Amino acid sequence: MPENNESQLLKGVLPMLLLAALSEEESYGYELVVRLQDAGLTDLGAGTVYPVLSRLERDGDISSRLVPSRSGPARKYYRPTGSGTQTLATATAAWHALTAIVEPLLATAAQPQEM
Amino acid sequence: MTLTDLLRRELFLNSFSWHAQDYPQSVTVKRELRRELTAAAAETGMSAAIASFGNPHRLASDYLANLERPYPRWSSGAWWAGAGLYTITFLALSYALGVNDALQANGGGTLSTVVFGTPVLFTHTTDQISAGFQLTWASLGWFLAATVPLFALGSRVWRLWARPSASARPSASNASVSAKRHRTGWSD
Repeated sequence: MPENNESQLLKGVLPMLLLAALSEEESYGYELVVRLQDAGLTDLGAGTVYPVLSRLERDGDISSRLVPSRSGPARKYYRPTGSGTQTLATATAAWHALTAIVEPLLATAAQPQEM
Repeated sequence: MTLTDLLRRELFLNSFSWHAQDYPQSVTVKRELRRELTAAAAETGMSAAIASFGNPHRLASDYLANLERPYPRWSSGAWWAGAGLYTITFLALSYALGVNDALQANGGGTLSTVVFGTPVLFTHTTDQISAGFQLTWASLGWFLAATVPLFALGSRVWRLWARPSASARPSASNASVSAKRHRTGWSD
């Protein structure tokens, strides 16, 4: 798959993934990036995550608080709000509905056609 | 933090800031990015931290792509208007020098004239070489006519009336929209 398409796919689901990761445990930006990289999104950069975090916060889906750190400046920790939890539930249901349609189609396409 | 790291961080942030000037809270975002870069650098070093943020132009584009609608670029508008002002000043000085040279070639003297509604007095004698002008409403009008359109064009002022567009904005509910389209057969 071309890298650009892959990147667009990731951008489409990234808000959902961020909400899911933050639902599991509140994190600061860089920690969140590392967690998602450890989960398999190895090419994910901080530059991709921060604009989405900013958008989610502006939309009221996540809230933040500053926590002092022993190494370096205070970290801005994020966690989902009630609205964000609801958004995540809606997006998750929609994702499952979409994959339920897409996966059988892809499985059919992957099988060789009988002549 | 070493001086080199500090300079690299600020270079990155200033580049981001220039490209993100449309962003409504770009100063706040820049401040947050500075904190996040510093925090990341404390764990991985400044080189890796900056690398993980990618190209500042691309980062700014990603922030802008997350806006509901485009915003005017006031700083660009000011640069354009400044360039227009510089051009006008340069042309006026060239004109003044040309007129003074002409006066000198004709044996010196004074010349009183009106240029674009602005009374101007040129003097070239053995004692004095000068060009004086008097500000009038007409000259102010010409000044505004030369700079305001440039400011409006440069700042893309029409974006003030742009309507929100969610089509290209990634959101947590994108998957929902996609699934619904599959079920109903919608297409863009």
